[in-house]
Amino acid sequence: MATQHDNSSVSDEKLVKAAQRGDMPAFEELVARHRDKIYARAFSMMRSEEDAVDLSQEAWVKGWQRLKQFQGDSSFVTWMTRIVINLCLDQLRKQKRQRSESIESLEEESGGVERQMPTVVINPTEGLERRELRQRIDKAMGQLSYEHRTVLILHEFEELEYKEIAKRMECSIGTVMSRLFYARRKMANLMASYKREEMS
Amino acid sequence: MNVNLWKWTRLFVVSLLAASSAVAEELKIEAKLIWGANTNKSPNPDHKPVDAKTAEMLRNVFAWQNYFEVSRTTGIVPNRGTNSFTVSKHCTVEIAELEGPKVGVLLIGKGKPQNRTIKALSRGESFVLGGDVKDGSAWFVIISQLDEKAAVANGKPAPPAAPSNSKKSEEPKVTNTASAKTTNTASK
Amino acid sequence: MNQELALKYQAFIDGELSESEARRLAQVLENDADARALVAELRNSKAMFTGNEPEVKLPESREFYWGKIQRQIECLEREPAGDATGRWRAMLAGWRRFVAPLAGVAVITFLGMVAVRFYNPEPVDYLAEIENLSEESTAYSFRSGNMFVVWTRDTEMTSDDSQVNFIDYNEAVAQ
Repeated sequence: MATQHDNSSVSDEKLVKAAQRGDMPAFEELVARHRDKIYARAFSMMRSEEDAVDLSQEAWVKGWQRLKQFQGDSSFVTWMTRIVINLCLDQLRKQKRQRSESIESLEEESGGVERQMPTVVINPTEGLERRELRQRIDKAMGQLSYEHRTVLILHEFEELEYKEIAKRMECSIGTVMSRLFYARRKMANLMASYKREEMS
Repeated sequence: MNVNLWKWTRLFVVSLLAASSAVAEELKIEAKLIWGANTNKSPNPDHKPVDAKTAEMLRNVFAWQNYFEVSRTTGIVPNRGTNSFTVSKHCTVEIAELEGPKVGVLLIGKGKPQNRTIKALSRGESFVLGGDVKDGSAWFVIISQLDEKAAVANGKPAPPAAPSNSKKSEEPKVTNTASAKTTNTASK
Repeated sequence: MNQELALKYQAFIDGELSESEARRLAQVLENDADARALVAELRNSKAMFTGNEPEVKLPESREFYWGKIQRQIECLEREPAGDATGRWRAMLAGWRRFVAPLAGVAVITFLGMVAVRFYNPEPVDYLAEIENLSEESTAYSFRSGNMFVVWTRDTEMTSDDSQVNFIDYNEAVAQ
């Protein structure tokens, strides 16, 4: 059985094959390699450390259980990312039933608010270092509602088409488009306001 | 006593399996997306008029004069499994083989489930989904069960029972149905 | 600019429009400064995400994180070893009285089904169940000759962009 040290230089493909044969240390190495990415996806959707840790661990357990179904059509980390996204979407749906809607989020849903947002003419990300840009993006995304943030993540980071997003979020393509439009405009305005704050 | 018990048990199990196999089978399905209109030509030159038999069948029931084949998809629905047939960018039909034998047909339009129908699918009978298009024309998805000879005659070898889109395949729901192993033919 | 047009511009930059629609929209853009400003904003907003997903580190050590996963896996895979055999034996003892007559019934049923299948044509089952799954459309069915039809139409709740327009006759066929 390969030791932890040996597995660190083994490719993902070989580790997956070994794990499919029941090699737990191989699976542990895969977890170690990709845990940050899977956790990051869960955190970006849930915005809660506790929820993101729980859901990412649940995703890994499901990944182990379903490993034999992985056929290599995509990379292993992409496959795992999809598992954690599905778990997060299920959790968000459960939470939505319990969560009371704020007036702002209802206005967002109805699609009226973004018409009041001025068009952002100057690129608010120009001149920013990557690290600072990422921090601002994270801060701005934290100010979106769950639905708007999710559609942004699925489109911009997971590169899913409207149709796929609608299927995953169990809504119409029109709703996906409205939410994405609002989310983008809101992000542009937030990033512009951060830039104004910095300059003042 | 034990030998007799096992003999009867074996006979029972074998008979049950044989009986269940008599009603369970994989289905070879063809799904055709057709546009019905009163214009003589489709705006898309790739869309050719359907064959005379299909045109007559549709004209006998529907008001449109002309019918054009937009796409044709064939595939296997495995025994007690499901397969997806993506007939257009906006339309997917999921077909499940159910006990009976019956099929469950789920229409997904623009990414959202529209309706589900459960009925027996018989050879020689056409199952047609349809709806209006805004400009007064109409769309149809004709679902037919093929036998092996028909599948070969259509120029496609009977595909193996590889349920790539079936619910028995890998878990992630976030997959692109366009990567299905069903055979798609562009209407030329 | 109305909402529908704005969403079309978004679909344009996302590559979700057909070629002909994209060409038509590009022509409209040339003459509309407000639209160009909106498209530029959307493009900037889209571009800022590329390669800039916020980096987040897992706030737990490797061993601690893996330990919990490992315990969950082991818990799921663990089965009581002796119980399964004992349960099977008890069930088999109870079934002993019924196995022989059930075997006879199964044989007769199988022979009957074979006979029906070979000597009777497959009847067409006229019964069908239809379930509406969307508030924006409704379905009804009818039969004509050898055709069974399920027709889907908009309800009053649909917006102009009908959910049931599943065909764009200008698009290429599905791959």
